[in-house]
Amino acid sequence: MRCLLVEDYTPLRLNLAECLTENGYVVDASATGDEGLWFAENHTYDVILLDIMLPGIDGLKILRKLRELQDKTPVLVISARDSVDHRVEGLDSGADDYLVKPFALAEMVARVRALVRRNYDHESPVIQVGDLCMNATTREVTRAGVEIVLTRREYALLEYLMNRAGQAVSRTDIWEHVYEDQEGGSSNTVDVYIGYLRKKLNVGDGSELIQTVRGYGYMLKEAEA
Amino acid sequence: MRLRLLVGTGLFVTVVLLISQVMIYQSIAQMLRKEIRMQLLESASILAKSAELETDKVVYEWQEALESNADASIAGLFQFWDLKTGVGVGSPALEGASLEIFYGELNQPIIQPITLYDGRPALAVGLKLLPFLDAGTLGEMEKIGKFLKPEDFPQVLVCARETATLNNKLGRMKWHLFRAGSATLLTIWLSILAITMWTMKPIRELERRFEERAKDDSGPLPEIPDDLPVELRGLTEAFNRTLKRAEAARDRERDFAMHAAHELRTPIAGIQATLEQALLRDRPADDLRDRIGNALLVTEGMRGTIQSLMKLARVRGRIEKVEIAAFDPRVLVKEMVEIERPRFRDRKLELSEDIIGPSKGFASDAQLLKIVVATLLDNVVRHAPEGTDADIRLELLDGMLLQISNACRGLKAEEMTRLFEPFQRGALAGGEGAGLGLSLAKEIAGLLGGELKMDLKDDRVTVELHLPSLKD
Repeated sequence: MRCLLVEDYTPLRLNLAECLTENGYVVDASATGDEGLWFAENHTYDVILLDIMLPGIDGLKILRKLRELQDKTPVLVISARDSVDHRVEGLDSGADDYLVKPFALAEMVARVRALVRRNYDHESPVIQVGDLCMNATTREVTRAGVEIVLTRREYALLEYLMNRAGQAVSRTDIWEHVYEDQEGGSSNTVDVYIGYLRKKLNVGDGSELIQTVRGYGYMLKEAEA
Repeated sequence: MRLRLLVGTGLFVTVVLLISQVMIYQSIAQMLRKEIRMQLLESASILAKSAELETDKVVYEWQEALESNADASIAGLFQFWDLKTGVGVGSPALEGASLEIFYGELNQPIIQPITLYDGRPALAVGLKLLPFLDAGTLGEMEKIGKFLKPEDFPQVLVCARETATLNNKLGRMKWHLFRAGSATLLTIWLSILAITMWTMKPIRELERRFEERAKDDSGPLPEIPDDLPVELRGLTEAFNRTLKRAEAARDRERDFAMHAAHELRTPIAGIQATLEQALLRDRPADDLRDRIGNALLVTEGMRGTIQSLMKLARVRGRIEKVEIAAFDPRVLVKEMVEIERPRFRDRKLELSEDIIGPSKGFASDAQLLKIVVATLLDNVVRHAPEGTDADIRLELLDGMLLQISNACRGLKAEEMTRLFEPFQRGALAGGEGAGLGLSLAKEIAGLLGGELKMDLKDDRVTVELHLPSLKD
């Protein structure tokens, strides 16, 4: 999952970015409104965390601009403005949720998870594809009742594929949403991690869940009987 | 106000009307009574001449006329008395009854109210007179050698006129006056009510507009109705101006409080996030130390923000005491530059200084000026692009003029005005600082009787500080 974090206060931005990264998100962090808008307009995100009072363009203007452009990316506003009027203004401007500073990181992560879940029309944090089951809250993955231990990157990759189960996703999309820009590597890296994942998912009836779409990427779908 | 106007005007008009009605009544009554008196005196005067002294007695011509002519009629209520004999002769109208007898000195009529025989009130004149003696009678007396003197036959005439009719007339007049007065009063009162309501209509409209606006306490101030009385227009305009200033001040304070809360909430969120991340898992001691150190740095920043907020509040509230003393601004500016010079060097900022004019005679608050100069230099260090230059020019000809200019790419012209507002940061501020420095500097400049201005031209920003020399 890739998220954009726009927060001008450096100590907070660094810690939020670290926390999100540790929770399996790929984070683009920006300190100004102008830069944040540029990121939002030029990349695809699963969720955006947006401060309101920013140097340059403020968060509400960014939000309105995105909604004008029909960008439906879920936006979580994080702001020190705590009055009802400000919350209403934020939500009316197109925010999907509003979190008042200071807040517990666990709550922020839970809200981000909920927004992502809603974005993919999942009613519960548990995603199921065939006998493969993923709990986004506990980060537990099981297949046919057998627990599968995944690394952070493997988990992020599987989560991305499970959220788009039945859809072909390109290697580029996987790369953009699962890997940091600065990590280097290539689409081969994606293939390598897909290989790791396939091995770990090879439990239960052993049917292949991750299908290769030749010349394009991969698709996760329930194995045909 | 309307009630006071109605009651006040009503009372005033009632009193005026009452006094005028009483005066009208009194003058008419007096005039009528005077007329009766005049008529009585005239009647008495005429009747007095009808008492004639004959050779042997006093005769009354009106009585002789009645006796000689059965058709003759004598009107009026009067009666003669012969004081010598005590015999009284009344007019036919008395029908045998008698009037009260009263009189004064000879030929001095007295008028007084009496009660007639039938109980009716009357006004009467009493006159003591002497009978008339004509030349014929005097001749006859000479012939018979019998001389009678009028002084020996004093007469009293009482002539009366009933006043019940007059009293009835006056009573009716009283009633007419009362009705006319009441109708006039009612008309006036209704007129005042109508005029007041008509006059108050724009005031009520204005009141309604203010009430409407008071519901959400926002938006433009109510427009003054065109038909508002001229006398109230000035007052309303003054009230609107005051309200506008008060609301602007309230909005500023609300924004200030909101921003202050923001500037404190955000670092608290930073501390919380830092510490939560530190405690999330087992970490090496160095890592933990770094994270705790970062949290401490945030608290240092908060302390600076709170100090700036306190200072700003004191300056704004004019609580900050200005201590005026003579000093050399050249030395002060140089000291401040030397303090900041390492930071300039670190950012490879080339600094040029230019000082014009003598230093003698300049007086102001050196400590407050230091805060302003430090803020302006700090802004240069923070925002001037690395490797550029900055110019400091100090002119001491008329007061003090400090100009600091530096390159400042990316700063927008529309941001210039709000940079002096608390908590406003330019796009290049990078989230560092609370955005209070320039606001505080401007407030201090104002407190010292000066002005702080900022100008942007060709990606170069120039800050000008004008300060007058204050009396020591």
